[in-house]
Amino acid sequence: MVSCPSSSNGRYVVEMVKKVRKLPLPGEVLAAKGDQVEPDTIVARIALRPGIPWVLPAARLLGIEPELLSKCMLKKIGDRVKTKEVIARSTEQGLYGRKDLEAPTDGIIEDISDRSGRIVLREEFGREEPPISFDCAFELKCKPKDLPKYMLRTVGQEVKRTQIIAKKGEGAAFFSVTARTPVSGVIAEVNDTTGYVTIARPFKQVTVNAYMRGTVTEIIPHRGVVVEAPAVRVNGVFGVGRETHGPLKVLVDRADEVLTKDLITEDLEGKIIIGGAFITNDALAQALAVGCRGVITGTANYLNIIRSLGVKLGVGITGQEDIGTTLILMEGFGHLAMHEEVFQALKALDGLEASINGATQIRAGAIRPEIIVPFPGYQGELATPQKIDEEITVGLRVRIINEPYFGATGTVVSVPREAQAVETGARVPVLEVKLASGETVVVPRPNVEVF
Amino acid sequence: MASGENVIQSILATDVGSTTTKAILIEKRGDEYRLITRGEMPTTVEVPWENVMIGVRKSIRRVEELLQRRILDQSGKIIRPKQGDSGVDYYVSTSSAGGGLQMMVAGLVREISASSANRAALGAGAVVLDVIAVDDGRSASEQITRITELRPDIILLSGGVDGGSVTYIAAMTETLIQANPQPRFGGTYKLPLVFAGNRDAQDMVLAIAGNELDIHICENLRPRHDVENLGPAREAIHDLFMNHVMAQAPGYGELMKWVDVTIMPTPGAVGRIISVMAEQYHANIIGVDIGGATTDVFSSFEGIFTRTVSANLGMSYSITNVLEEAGFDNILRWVPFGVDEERISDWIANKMVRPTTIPQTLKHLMLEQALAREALRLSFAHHKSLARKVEKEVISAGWRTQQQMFKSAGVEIIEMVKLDMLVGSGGVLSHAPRREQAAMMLLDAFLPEGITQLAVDSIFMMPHLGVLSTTHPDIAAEVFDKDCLVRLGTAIAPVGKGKDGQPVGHMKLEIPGRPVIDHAITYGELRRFELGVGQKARVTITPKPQFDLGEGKGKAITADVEGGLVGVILDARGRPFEMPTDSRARVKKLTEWIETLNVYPLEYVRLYQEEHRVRDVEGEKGGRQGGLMSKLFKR
Repeated sequence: MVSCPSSSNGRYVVEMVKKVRKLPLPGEVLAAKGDQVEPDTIVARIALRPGIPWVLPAARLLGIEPELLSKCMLKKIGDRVKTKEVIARSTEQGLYGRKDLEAPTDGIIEDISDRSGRIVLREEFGREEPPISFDCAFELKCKPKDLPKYMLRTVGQEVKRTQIIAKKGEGAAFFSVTARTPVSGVIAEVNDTTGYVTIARPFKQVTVNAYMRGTVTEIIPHRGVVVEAPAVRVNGVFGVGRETHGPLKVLVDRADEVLTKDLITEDLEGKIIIGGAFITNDALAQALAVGCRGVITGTANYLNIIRSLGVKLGVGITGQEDIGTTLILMEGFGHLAMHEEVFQALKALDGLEASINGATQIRAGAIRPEIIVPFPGYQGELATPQKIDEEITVGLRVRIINEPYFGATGTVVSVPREAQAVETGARVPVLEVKLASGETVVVPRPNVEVF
Repeated sequence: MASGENVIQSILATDVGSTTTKAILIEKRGDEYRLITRGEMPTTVEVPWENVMIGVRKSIRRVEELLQRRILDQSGKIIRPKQGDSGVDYYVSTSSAGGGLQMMVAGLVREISASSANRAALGAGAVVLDVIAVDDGRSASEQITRITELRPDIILLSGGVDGGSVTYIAAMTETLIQANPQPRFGGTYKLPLVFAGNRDAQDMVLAIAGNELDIHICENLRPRHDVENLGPAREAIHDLFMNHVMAQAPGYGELMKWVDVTIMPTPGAVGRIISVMAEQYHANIIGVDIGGATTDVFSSFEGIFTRTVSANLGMSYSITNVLEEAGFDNILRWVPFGVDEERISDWIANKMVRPTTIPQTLKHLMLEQALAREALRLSFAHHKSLARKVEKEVISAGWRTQQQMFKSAGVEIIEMVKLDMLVGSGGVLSHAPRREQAAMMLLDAFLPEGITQLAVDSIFMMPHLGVLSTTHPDIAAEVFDKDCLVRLGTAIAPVGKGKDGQPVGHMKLEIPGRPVIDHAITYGELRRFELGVGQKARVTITPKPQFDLGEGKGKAITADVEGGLVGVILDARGRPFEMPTDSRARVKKLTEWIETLNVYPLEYVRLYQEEHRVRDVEGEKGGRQGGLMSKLFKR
């Protein structure tokens, strides 16, 4: 499972690593072909993140037929409008004169439909703004402790300016009291002690950085770039956390050494630490507390990852977790030493700047976490990625990846053609493996990986 | 195809699953078509291979290895037609690798057109990412934001009765366009949209969205409020799945050239064979296919076919999600020994990161089967909530109108007492080392009521036969009956609550040529009566007043039951079923059931019970609902 960077001469091999760095939506590309980039160099951004769309039933508000909407428009698609600016005016003279439609917010007119009589106005967010708190309980004329039960929108939901977010009382407007949000954003907190509701406005510019040190070799118009560099690439088995980078620091001497709390000192802040086998629960907590950018180790305890990182790993798709420390497990869960050759390769890279990404997707189209150590000035020969031969044959070194011999390594001594019964009673295709301890065991074929 | 049917001697079928690729060989022996052999190898859609054809060839090579004959030529191509002892005449395949088919569904009224569209998409074998409807509680702007986020393979839009108003369909189509949805596999092709709504709105949908989306028009799936017509939409989705989705996955181009019939999504093929079966046997059938990533439940109740998919409940890729959704307590209640939660969770997580491994020890097999019970239970609960039928609408005045209108949203159709047959499929059920294990998993997860026949798919070949049935239904039906379906027996489960040891009723079992068995049923017992495959018996049960077997409380029932590899299972553990809350009592009960049904070798069970003693402090087990997160972060 682990792609092993072993080579005959050194402990690792350098290959040409290519990374496509793309925006999720069309935007602006900031780098040029041939540019040398650092991990933090911003290579593309969306100048303005598409904000919340406001769908205005314009024809209804103006009291006109939908097909007349275009004729009534004072603005056209693509126009930027300000709050309270008149964007449409009815052609008919009514009892109180012509009706005006004012823009409820700042934004860009994205669509005008004569079929449904609707206008789509995209609210824009240009800069990061501080969160806003307002006394919702006061507006609602209720006790703070009762506020949560009157809320129509809950924490984490997106709200638009002037949207009703809380309502007290049932029935007609006369009998109910409502509270409206003063700004657009996401509800960050509903405080039942103070009665305040906090609206966060986490609308940042969406940017894409280079992720690794290298050269821009290709520009993808309006989307991003391709960054290339000669680099060592190692894949793990499971990871949690986003892309990050930092200097590697090996904390243990052997691949089977457990990473404990006392090894993680304050000065490791901002570094990517490397352990050998298992990382203890305390050590993981310490790495988080110290502020390590990343932790690369053999294995960890599943429950502890859930508990200490507060993440859900249920469906095996990770990489978007908002945690400060990216965790990469080279072997999986439980107690298991890291693959010796991988450990030696990482050890040889000690002190070098690495880019790591915990993103894992075990389902088809698999993504496994990666560690990339670029060598921008590398002049030597580059390795070509090798496709692993899938057939298991006698003499091959394998590792057993399921109980009861989990983690044991050995050599295949026979590949029986007929299926054999194992302890469960199932008849399955098997292998005979001579373990390093000298014992020969029978294991189901799917339970080994080529070492 | 009819002309070629006579000459077909040998059929090769593969199913490219998310975990394994399975090849089967069917041949004509004498007058009948029979399954000859089967080869299974890991699917190779992932790195380092990234080409499904490697797995397909390897599985075929496995078949060659087992039969000692050639199917592939030197260049790795199938020899066709059969020449002497090498090659095959016909090749078909299904696929669920590459994450299957992901769809977004849009309709007008959530409970009417949108729910029908949802059923059509599920029935076609899709994973439904979201259902958007005018009345789904979201504002148009929220819907736009949501649609933009989704990356579906296909969009299904429905809504409106034929001849009805088109205004809302226009608005919904505009919402879709304003959101500018993008296909999952990049922007090299236009995102396909299947429109199955008001026929008067077809031109309008083309006019609004024709430039941005690849529109495919098919018949309205809800032409009237009281009529549901899901077939055409399902077919349209199948076609698009092949041409747009599969074509993007690595290696499928070659596979598509190999096959004689278009590749079907695996769930679509399984659904097809279940419908065919229900028709053939005139029975209410529930089928379940528990896979590595997803669990599909199919039901055919009173002629209405429903399929649901629990996208995140499975035995490998999604196994930790089973743990999170069901919680430790619910899983461990099925394990007859004490377990260390930390070690167990690590083992489960390793199964997720190394999805192709299989349990080697009985301890891990018991754990895997405990997880399977919970995955099945949760999937079935999901299915029950979605399996609905559209009732004939009666328009009447006054207060009843609303009541009748509500019915157009559908009424639940699954009634466990009316279930005739329960069929299990998927690795954990089909490959269970003992058939008794499969029977127990089905009993514990589905809790059938009254009299229900149990069966499993012998070696997981329902998908193969499903796709084969599209061109050669007779061959598919013959092989299905003779080789695919393994009859486990019949379960008899009285409905009602009581106390352990309390009399439930009296059972009389008449097996031709054997003395009549008279048995006094006591509450809490699980018993097995031998009745072999193909044998039939007459059973008469006279329940006590508070128990029901389908005829009403206290009413006697007489029925003919079929035997099987397990026989007749009397399950008097009560419905609704409750597990003893005390750990020791629970383990005692489990051991008793294991012994009665010979589920696991008892010496190993005792060994593990010695090794992993049940802790006294475990407290309440079972019953409690709620996920793992709630347990970990309990205040």
